[in-house]
Amino acid sequence: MNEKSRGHLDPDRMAASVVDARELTVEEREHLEACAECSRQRERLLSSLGALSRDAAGFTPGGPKRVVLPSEAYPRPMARLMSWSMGFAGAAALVVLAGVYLLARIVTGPVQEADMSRLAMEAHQDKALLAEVQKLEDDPLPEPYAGIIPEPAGVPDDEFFDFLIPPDAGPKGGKT
Amino acid sequence: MRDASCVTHGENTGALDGVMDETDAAMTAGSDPGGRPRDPGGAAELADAARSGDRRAFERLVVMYQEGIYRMAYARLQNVSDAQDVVQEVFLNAYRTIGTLRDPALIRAWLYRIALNRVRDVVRRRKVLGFFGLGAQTEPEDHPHPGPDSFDRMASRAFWERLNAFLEALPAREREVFRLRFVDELSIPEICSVLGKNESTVKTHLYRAVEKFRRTSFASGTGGDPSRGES
Repeated sequence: MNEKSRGHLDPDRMAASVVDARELTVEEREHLEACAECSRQRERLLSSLGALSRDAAGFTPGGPKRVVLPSEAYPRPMARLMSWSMGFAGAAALVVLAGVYLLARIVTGPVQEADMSRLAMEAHQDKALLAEVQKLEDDPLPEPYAGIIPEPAGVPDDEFFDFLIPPDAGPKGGKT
Repeated sequence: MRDASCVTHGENTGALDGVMDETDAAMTAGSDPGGRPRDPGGAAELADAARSGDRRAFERLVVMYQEGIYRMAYARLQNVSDAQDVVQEVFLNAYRTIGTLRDPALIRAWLYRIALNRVRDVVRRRKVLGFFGLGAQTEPEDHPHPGPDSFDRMASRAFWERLNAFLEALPAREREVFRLRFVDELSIPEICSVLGKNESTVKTHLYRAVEKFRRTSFASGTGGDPSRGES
């Protein structure tokens, strides 16, 4: 028995004796049985702690309402088994569908490559068409009409020259 | 610490057998002297039958535990309506999931674990509603007492205020372990199961909380402020 165990139980050991008395050493247990002061302290602490739950129960107003359980059938193990079975069946169906899809992809692979080249050609045509549309937006007149468009701005046209130099005032003189 | 797991102690305790009997008689209403959850009314058998689909057995479990779970919920929420809702949700949840209960002997701990989660849901909901200024309807009540005597009401209010002040002064882990042990009267193995902690951790929290409790007016009977921990 060491020096500490010959004295009264310290607060930590007293708490330990209340939480779980088996945590005490043999010396501490013997002291607790022999020492009236420690024994009284422990009893008082136990009594205070015991009163907590009693008071809490006594000072709790009201009470639980009647618990209403679902009216559906109790989830029996067989029902749970059935639900598991359904789950497995669903999973198996998904696996089969995935397998069929992958198989179809493998079988129809070359066809898909042909489809891809056709799609590429169509995309190329679409691109050319769009380029033509863009060109028309920039210059809406078709090529054949390019020669009859008015003179570019800033260059006098024939009408302007006729205004400046009337046709009947030419070198031949006199009016026609 | 001799044992870091939540298992039954079976060894002989020698000279302190009498002391231990007294401890258990005073405080461990839900456990046998070895710390193993006691089985009032054949709860384990009922739980086992309920797992197998016996609705009657489940209804008997409801009758057996609804009061305790209501008190547990009220001690944390301090609102009658919220506590009643928690009881309903706990047993509804348990009814649907009792097939997942592995050890029927731990039925009470399992129910309390569900209850603790529902209580936390309510507390979180209160916080969210409070953030938006809508929490008035779910705040704790003024501890109404069923008795007509105003003295009962005052005593009830005083008790809950002192207990709350003491508990709020504890760290969260110590608070929850202390509540489960000394207010809800769960055994240490049951607390381990409820909180998912090992036995040595639970006991360490209990030592600290009990030591703080010893220094309060609860233990000394002086009626002082328990949150200050005065002797």
